Formats: sequence, C-alpha cells, structure tokens
Amino acid sequence: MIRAKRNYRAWVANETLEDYALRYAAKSYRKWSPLLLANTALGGISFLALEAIGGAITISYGFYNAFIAIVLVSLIIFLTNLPIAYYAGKYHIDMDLLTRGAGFGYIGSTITSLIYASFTFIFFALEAAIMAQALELYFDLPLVLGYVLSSLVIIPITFFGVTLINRLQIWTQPLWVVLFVLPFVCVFLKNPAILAQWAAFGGKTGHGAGFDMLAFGAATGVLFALVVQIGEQVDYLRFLPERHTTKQRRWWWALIAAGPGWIALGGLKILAGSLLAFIGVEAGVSFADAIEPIHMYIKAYEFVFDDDQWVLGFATLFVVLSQVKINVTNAYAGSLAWSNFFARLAHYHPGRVVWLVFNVIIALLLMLLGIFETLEAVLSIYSIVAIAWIGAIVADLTVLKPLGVSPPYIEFKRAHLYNINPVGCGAMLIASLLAISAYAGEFGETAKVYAAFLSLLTAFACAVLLGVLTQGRYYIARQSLLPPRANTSDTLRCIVCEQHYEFEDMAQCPFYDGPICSLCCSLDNHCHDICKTPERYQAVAPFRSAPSLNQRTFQPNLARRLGWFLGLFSIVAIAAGIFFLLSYRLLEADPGPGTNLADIFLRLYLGALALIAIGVWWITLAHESRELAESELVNSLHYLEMTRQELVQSEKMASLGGLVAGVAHEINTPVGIMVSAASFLRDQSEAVRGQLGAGQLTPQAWEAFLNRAEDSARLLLSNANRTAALVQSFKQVAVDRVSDERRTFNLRDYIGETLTSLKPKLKRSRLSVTVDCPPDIQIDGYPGPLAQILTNFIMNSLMHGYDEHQIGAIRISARRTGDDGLELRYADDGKGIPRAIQGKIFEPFFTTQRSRGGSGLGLHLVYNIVTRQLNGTISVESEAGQGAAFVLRLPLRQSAPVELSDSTAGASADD
Amino acid sequence: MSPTLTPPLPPPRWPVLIVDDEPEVHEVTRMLLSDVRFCGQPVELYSAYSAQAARAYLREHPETALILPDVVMETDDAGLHLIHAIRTIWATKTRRSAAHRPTRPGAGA
Repeated sequence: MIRAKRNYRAWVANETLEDYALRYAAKSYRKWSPLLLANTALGGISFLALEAIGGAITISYGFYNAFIAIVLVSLIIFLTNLPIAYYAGKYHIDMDLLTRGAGFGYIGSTITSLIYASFTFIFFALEAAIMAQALELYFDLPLVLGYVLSSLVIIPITFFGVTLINRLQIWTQPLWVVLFVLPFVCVFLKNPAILAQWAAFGGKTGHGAGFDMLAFGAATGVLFALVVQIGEQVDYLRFLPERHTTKQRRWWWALIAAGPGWIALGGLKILAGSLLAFIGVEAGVSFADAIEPIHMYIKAYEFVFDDDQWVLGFATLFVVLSQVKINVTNAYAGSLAWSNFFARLAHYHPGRVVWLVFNVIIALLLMLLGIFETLEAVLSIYSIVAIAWIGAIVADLTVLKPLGVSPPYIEFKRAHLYNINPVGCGAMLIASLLAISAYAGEFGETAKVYAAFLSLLTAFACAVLLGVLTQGRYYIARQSLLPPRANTSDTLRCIVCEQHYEFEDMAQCPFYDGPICSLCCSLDNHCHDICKTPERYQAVAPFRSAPSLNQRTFQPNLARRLGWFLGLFSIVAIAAGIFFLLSYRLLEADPGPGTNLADIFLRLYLGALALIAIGVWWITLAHESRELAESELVNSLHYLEMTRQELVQSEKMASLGGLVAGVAHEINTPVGIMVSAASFLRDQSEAVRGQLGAGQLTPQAWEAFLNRAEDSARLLLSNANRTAALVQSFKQVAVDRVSDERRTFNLRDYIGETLTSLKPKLKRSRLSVTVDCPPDIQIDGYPGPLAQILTNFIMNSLMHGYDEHQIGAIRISARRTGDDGLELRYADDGKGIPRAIQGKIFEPFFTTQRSRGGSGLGLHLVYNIVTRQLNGTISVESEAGQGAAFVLRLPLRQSAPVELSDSTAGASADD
Repeated sequence: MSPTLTPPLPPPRWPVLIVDDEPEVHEVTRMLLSDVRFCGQPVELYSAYSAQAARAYLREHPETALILPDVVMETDDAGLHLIHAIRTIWATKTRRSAAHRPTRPGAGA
C-alpha cells in the first residue's frame, strides 16, 4: 500500500509534551529515579476529598462503623492495587494500555477509558470547587471567578507532562507535610483526651456507636470508589526505570509506596477527616459544614494559632496547595484517558495537551453549572462500574496469568489484540448490571449498601470463569512478526511517521509492509485490521501493493443499512432513556405541586426519540457516503502506486540500458586491439611460412617475425586480461542492480567496481574520483542499491555540479561508526546546492534541469533506498559555490525484515 | 589554369597521424603499419591522444598525409568534429582523413 508520510503536529512528536500518552514509555525517556517518581505519584494523595469522605461517613454512620470500614476497605484496596502497580511498573504502560492487555481487548477498554476520563474531570471539578471555596473565604473572591482560577492554573503545570509535575511535587512536598502534620500535633498536645471522645462518637443520629451491618456496608460503599485512584498512581509509575538496572529494593519500595501504598497515607487522611469532622461537630459547627475540608482545617488550625486571620490564612494555604497538587494529577490522568478514548473511537489524536485543555474545560463547565449533587449521584453509579473494571483486571493479573490462560506479558498494541475480549468486558458488564440493580434496591436493603462489594466480587469471579471457559483464546489475535532483537534498546523506524521508537512500541504491519509504531497503527483508517485475519491477508498477498481493494468493495446494501440504523438507534435511545430516567429521579425528590412529572418526561422522551431517529438515519447515510469516498480514495491510491511503480521500473531499465552501452564501449576497444593483433599475427605467420617454403627465409626476417609475434602476444594477453576484468566487474554490478540479492561484500572493492562501470562517463569529464575507505569494511546487505546510490551521486555531480570541461574532484570516504555503523560521505567541489532548495532535493520530481532531461527522481530514489531499503539516514551539507556533500549513515548489517520491493530498488541515473 | 598533370614528388616517408585516447591502439596500429608502403614509400607514424592535441598538431604540421582518428574521445563526438574541421578548414587535395575505428558513441544514455 502506498504510504503517505504521517506528519504529527509538533506537540505529538515532542514527547516532553506528549509524555508517551498512547505508547509504551520509552527507556530513553525514563530517566527519573524511583524515589522521585514515588514522590510525584504520592503528591496526588493530598486531595481533600479523602478528609471529606472520612468526615461524611463518620457523621452519617458513627466512628465505630466508619473506622472498621476504613481499615477493611484500605486493606482490600491495597491488595487489589498491588498487582496493577506491579504490571504497570514492569511493562511501562498506563492504566488504559494495561486494561487492553489484561482481559478487555483493544476496543473493549474504550469504555473504561471513558469512565476513567469522566472520573478525572468529575473529581477535578469537586476538588477545584473546594479550592474555590477556600479562596472565597480568605480573599472574598466570587465563587465563579474562583472556579475559573482554580481550573486554569492547572493547565500550564500539566502542559509539560511528568517532567514539570515531578518538579512541582518535589518542591511542594515538604511544605505540604508540615502544614498537614502541624495542626494534628497541636490537637493531640492541647487535648489528649480527644481520641477517647472521638472513638465514642455515634454520628449525627447517635445510634452509630455500635456495629451495624447496614451502616458499615454503606460506609464501605462510599470508600470503595477510591479503588480507582490506582489508575492515577500508575500513570506516573509507568516511568519507573527498568527493574534490573536499578537497586531492587529501591524499585520495590517506590512501587509499593506509590502504588498500593497510597492507601496507607490515604487511610490516615480519611481518619484525619473523621477526627476533624468530629471536632467541628463538638464545636457546634453544622453537620453540613463539618464535612467541608476548609471548615475542617479552620477548626484544626484554631488549635495552632489564636489569631483568626492566621488560622484562616494557613487553612487557605493548605487547601490551595493540596488542591493544586491533586488536580495536576487529575488533569494529567484525564488527558491520557481522553487521548486513549478518541484515538480508538475516532482514529484521531491531536495531542495529549489538547485533551488536557478539553478535560479542564469540561470540569470548569460542570462547576459553573453548579450540579455538584448530580455529579455525586453519577459518581456512585460510575464507581460501581469502575470497581467492576478493577475487579476484572485483578482477576486477570492474579489468577488468569499464573494459570497460563492469559499471556504472561501485557500486550497493548492494536496490531496484536482482539478488539473485544469477553473475559474483562463480559465480567465488567455482568458485575455492573448486577451491582447497579442491587444499588437500585432490586435485591433488598442489605444488597443495596453492599453493591460495591458485590461489584468487585462478581467481576473477579466472572473474569476467572470466562477466562477458563474461553481458554484465553481472545487475548492475542496474532503473534509479533518482528524478529526478536538481541539488544532491546535498539529503535525501529516507523514506516508511516518515519520516527524512531523502541522495539516494544512497534509491530510489523503487512498492510504497509514494514514496521509500524503503536500510535500510527492505532490511528490508521484504511487497513481494516487486515493483519488479524490471516486468510484475507494471504489471499491478497500477491497484490500486496493494495490489499484493501480485495477486501472491501462497497455495495449499498439495504439489510446492512437497516442493521446499522437499528443498532445505532437502540444505543442512542437507551442512553437517552437513562438520561431522562436519571433527571426524573433527581426531580422527583422535590416534586412541584400538581404536576404529573412521569407523564411529562414520557412525552418529552417520545418526542426526543423522533428527533433521534432522524439524526441516526442521517448519520447512517453519512457513514455510507464516507465509506464510498474512502474506497474510491483507496482505489485512486492504488492506481497511483501502480503508476509510480511502472515509472520506477522504466527508470530502472533506462539506467540498465545506459550501463549496457557503457559496457559495450568499454569492451570494444580491447576487443578491437585483439582482433587487429591476431589478424596481424596470422598475416605475418603466413608470410613467414611462404618464405620458408620458398627457401627465402633469412635470419633477419625470422628475427623480425619473432619480435612481431612477441609484441602481438603481449597485446593479445594484456587486452584479453583487461576484457576479462571489465566483464567481471560489469557482471557483478549489473546482476546486483537488477536482482537485489543479499550478500556479504567488501565495501572498498565494491566502490571500485562501481566506479569502473562509470568509467565511460567519468573519462569524458575532467573530474577525478578518489576513494578513501579502509580495506577491511565488510557489509552484510544489498550491494545493488549501494551501486545505484553512487551512480546517482556521480551523475548528479556531472549534470549539476560542474560546467562542461570544468576540472573537479570527487571524494568518496567511508569510516566505521561504533560497532556496527558505517558513515559514507560523498563530496564534490562543484557549484553546490543553494540553501533555498536543499529542503526539496529529496522530493520526487524536483529538478532544476527539466529542460535538459532531468526527471527529478534521482535523489528521491537515493533517499528511498537509504531510508527504506538500507535502513539508514541521509543528510546534505552544501553551500553555494563550495561543493555538495551527502552523508549516509548505514548499519553494517542490514536487518533482515526490511522488505524489498520494486518501489525502492530501481532509480534513474539523474536528478 | 590547367591542372598540373605531373604528381608532386612523394616525400621520403608519408606522415600519418593516429588520434586515439587509448595508448594500446597506437601500439597495435604502429605494428600493423610497420611494413606498409604507399607509392613505394613507407609511413612515418605520429601520435595524438585527444582531438584537441590533434588540432594543435595539425596546425603545426599541415603536411600530414593521412589522419586516423577515433570518434569517442573527450566527448561522444569529438572525432567527428575533428574530421569536420579537417575537411573544411585544412582540406587540401592531397590529404584526406579517414575514421578507421568503428567505435560509435555508446555510453551516452
């Protein structure tokens, strides 16, 4: 298939901004110490929602139930988070990439990405609202302005990814620790008896002093939502260095502390919130205010300072600092999740930073709408689904992987994964449906409060069951076709975007016929996953240049169209139904006088359905026409590619024709001399024989004949040798030129043979060629392309570099670079290439000599040969009037999988 | 004016110029022509290794009787230009040139 080079926007190609958002985090990028990363990951734990949750469950269910729930749920969170952190740290992938490989499949994790992204912006909104509240209290800043300020301040910090976030977290951490610990030290010093009073606190009803199944269950339900926090932790942990390159204990310490260990600190903060809420209630604060973090810390700082301004100032400082630290993490994780979601849904990736801004703006909108109660209602449904998600992943990592049902590593590439793996998707679906029904009260009051537990356990059990039932058949769609590498830090060049990425990020793409990076693979619109259906791929193998032609011919098909319509319509109708139902439930809590709300909503819903039907029909038709346009485009590309190949083929034959003519001329001279010498010898012999027969042979005549015979023999021999040598070198060059066979050859000898074949052209110019190459450089690769490159360079110098009869010198030099690299430099001292056109010389059909027959393909083909066939790089150095130099960097051993096709082999001799 | 009927006396040796960029061509030609006699006189062989050198030589030696040029030398048609120049500029009744090498321009693709 023809490859249009994909040019990413600067902020996708720049990994400082992009942070490997959709990729395996490259080794070269992971240069931070484990402890620094652990600090960054733990920086997010500053979020005050923890205190708010602790306060809320203590006030609602009493200290005793809250305490047991906190300890138990913390333990469960630790245990479920441990395997997730381990695999993310070991395989250097973020939460979404992990989900794909751990039982969900490539498309299967789209839905979890969406939920995760929603989590990040909902939490972002809740946390930023807390910050805005603090700003309002201290600075009298209006809430709306506070919302805007506390959102926008996050963008510049998160813009530069983990690099800048690391810095922020390390600078703010000491201050934050002091601000956090200080009030509690003072509380315990000034009022040591508070612990006993706190432990006896029975909540707002006063009944919660003893254990209560329902109260305890409800408390766990709130706390379980925190299990998803591991996602944000591993988004940083993926940058851990390789385990064997660093100190084992440090690596593990960082992994555990910043991975599952977050809940140890988090649990303490929940308890702190519980204590502060209790202190607030004791001091006469209302229940509603007592669970607001800003009020909690005002009460706490009253133990430290006597002056009200100081108390408020420090509480505000602490809240602002905490919220900036967490929202940086929320925004960062959200930007990754959105990138992942849209890259798969729309095959579109404008860059992580775009999704960062998108995420922050959604959060800001939610705040401005002031729908915090709705958010919390949505969050409780979401958290049930999210818990099911984590349960299914943990089942995969801890049960299915050791059983051998799931592959031992984490695969995340589209090229190798099935779209949907029933193990994770099925388990999450079943568990979510069951737990949401329970939450809605279908199975009674007890089941309702334990819905989160139910979700976790059901997902875990279903994932194990489905994994065993399907025998892990839907994990890996195909094996990697890339050959294994000895040195895994080698990079491969993506055939589409032409950037280099590490081996782990690459797959062999049969559609484009070369190695492809995971992002280009994800974003490709045309291949229709042909690599995963081997029969289709093999069927079209002879027509590899355009496989897509054979697999998707477009026919407007009524059944297909109707199927599309009905499928899409039901999805949208159900989604709208859920939306209406949710709105109805929320409004029902506060019914207006004398209206039949259910009836109004039903009418509204039916009206909306009609609109939805029209919209869906329009989308269906638009989709069809897009498909049609796409298939036409692919066809055009196919013909374009065929034409280009034919052109290249004819250029190749023309170039070979030139070579043959050169051979003919070069051999003609020695053959002519031999014919003359041989016929002269024959004539002389006959003359001598005649003289001998007539008895007239004088000693002088005999002597003269012998001299002439010797001269003839000498000429015959030297010219026969010369002819043989010419034939030998021409034969090799000509064979290499057309066959593209791989062999081991000596570079200096081969340059010599190539120059011999160019002798007829060089002889008639006044250019001298010197070769400076060590005699011991052996190349294991393709000699033909190398000869083609040199030929094109020399023809370019002849055609463009010099005026007729101008004296010039060409220098070809080669040297080794490193163990397995080669630098080949071709330089002439002619007119040079003006700077203005240097950027264009490798483009196809660019020539300054169209009127003199330049095709504009010469250097383009050199570029293709060097970069695609020889796997090297080429650069040009030139100043007008000072000659031109081309520097090629090539591997001494060309890698085997590089496919050779006609499109890259032949070349014209001129540019 | 009536033409002179008596031919001029032949020189003691016929001056012949070989024009070729291959030294071995000169060598084999010398060998072949070593015994040749024309009107009873042997030939004297001179060498020029390019068309340009041949022009210079001919300017100095207009009495040259026979010129044996190659075609492909500095350029694909250097010999042809040389022949043209000889015929139009230095042509005399007594001298003709011959292109004796059947080589044709071949490498100019």
